[in-house]
Amino acid sequence: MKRLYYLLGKNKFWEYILFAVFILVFYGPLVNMLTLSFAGKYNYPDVVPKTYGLKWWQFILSNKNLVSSITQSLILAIVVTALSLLICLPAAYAIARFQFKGRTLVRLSFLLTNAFPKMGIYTAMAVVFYKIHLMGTFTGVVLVHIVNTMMFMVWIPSGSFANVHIQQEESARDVGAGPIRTFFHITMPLAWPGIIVASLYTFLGSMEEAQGSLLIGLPNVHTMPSELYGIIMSYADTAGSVFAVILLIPALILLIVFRKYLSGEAMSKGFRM
Amino acid sequence: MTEITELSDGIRGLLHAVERVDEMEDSIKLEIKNLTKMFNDHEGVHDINLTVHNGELLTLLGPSGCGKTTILRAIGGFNKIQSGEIILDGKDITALPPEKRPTGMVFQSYNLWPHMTIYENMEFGLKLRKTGKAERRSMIESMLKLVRMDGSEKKYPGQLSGGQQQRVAIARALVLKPSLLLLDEPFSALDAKIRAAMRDELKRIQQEAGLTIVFVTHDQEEAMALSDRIAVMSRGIIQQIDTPTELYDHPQKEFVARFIGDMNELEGGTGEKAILVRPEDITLRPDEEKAPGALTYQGRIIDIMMLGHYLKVIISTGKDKEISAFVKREEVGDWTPGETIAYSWRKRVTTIEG
Repeated sequence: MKRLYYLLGKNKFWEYILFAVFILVFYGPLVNMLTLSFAGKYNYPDVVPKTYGLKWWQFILSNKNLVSSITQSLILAIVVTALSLLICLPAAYAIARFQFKGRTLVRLSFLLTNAFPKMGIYTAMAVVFYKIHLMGTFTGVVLVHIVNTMMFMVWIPSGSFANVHIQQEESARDVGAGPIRTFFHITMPLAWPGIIVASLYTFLGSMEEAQGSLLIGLPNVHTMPSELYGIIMSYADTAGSVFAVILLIPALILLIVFRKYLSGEAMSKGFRM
Repeated sequence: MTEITELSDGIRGLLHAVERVDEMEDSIKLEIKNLTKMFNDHEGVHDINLTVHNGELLTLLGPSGCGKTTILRAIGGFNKIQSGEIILDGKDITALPPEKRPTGMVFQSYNLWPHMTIYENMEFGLKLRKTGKAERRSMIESMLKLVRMDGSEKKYPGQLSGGQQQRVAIARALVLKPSLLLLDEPFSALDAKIRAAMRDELKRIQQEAGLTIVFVTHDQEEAMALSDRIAVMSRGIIQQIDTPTELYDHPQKEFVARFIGDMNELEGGTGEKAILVRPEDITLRPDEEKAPGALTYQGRIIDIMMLGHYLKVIISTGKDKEISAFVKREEVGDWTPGETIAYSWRKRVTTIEG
């Protein structure tokens, strides 16, 4: 240790120590989860399993309910993202481009859904949903998820739209494109980074949303996170780990595919008041 | 017999005259009638009437906020006007959106779409017009050649300099064969040297392609260099429309006289208004000699600047007041700053109203 200390110099040495702690705290649980998911024999306070195998993977993947919850969650996330784009992009564009009365208020109103305790909002929604027969329906769960992601879906693309120069849109009109063609050929491609970041956030948010899905969706709609509750309660840790890893896969794939768009810039523009 | 020849000559002359009048009428490209566009009580343009002829380069010139861009954007369809008519090629285009108007617009900056190559930028409008692929290619190539940007088809706008981007923007407008080209301070984001080069280039392109152009600028030098006619604007109205020479020599209003070129203000006789004199119409004489001219004034030389063939002499004429004079080098003695000097004027500028 002493040898290392003098080899690296004081500053570098502490930097490395700090880095090691960081890795341990942030990635330790992930690695632990990954190893547990491939456990064969495992007893509770042990850190690593005694033997390894695909036993628990087989167990999860042979459970029909769990597998169907995976497809359910994926379909749900896709529908939520698509609908959210459809609803929020026009709003984002309007906030970015038009100077109407109460613009700031409209913008801030999207914060409300994220400012109150979630469970309170869900309960209030549940009361309304009972009356209009949306409890336990796919549509009901979609609505809950959209309420959750609206703020990001409006704010982040709005920041990107505001960054598209009005002359670029006007040039398109000038050469003969109507307003709609201009939006899809000029404005939207130029605002891609923000739209992609917001869509990613919405998709992943929908994949991992549990509270609202449980309250509104059960007993008919089973999503992965809501099933995860059941697994953790009724099976060994190792089963939960497998399921958690499965839940992680889409996030990893999306982050890798779209990593070039994931800049802090697109995010921060959306949150500038 | 001679009478008959004379008579037929007379008729022929008459016919010629009629033809010429017809030509004059045919040659009207754009007519703006009673255009009003107010943004609020004091910002906007009011009751504008303007005629642009075929093949003409007309400049809207004025300080910022005078309404020149408002008129240009109204012609392009980007401003909804409150009243008035815009007639292009004999057709009323007042109610048409920009995409339906046969005008081509180039803005000060951010004209090009950064996610498309130069070729794709040029192609966008042609595709909307359902032009065939081979035809598109040849049109784009020849247009890029015209603005001397051939070979840049595969580049992205971000790879070009500001001047090059503006050339491409002009080419993109021209490739659609607009009936009228609208330029909104297209060179003002460029540095001085490139700006001058672009000016010459635009003049060449206009002549080669036989274009009619409405040009907006706040730079009077640019306007003088480019324009067939200039509409000088201030506070939402057109003060005077004339050729650059007429504007310089015979400004109708004091605003125009001061805005176009350099202008000195000399004290008039008792009860008279200030006398407006161009720097080149000032005569300087050493203090002892009396300078020739109606009135002789005295001042102190502040600075002498070398401008090639001419010298610019700045003279203090009183507290916080100075004038400048352009003097030929051979007429200047061994004057130095600080010296007292006599001056007078050869020619004054008279305006119709103040």
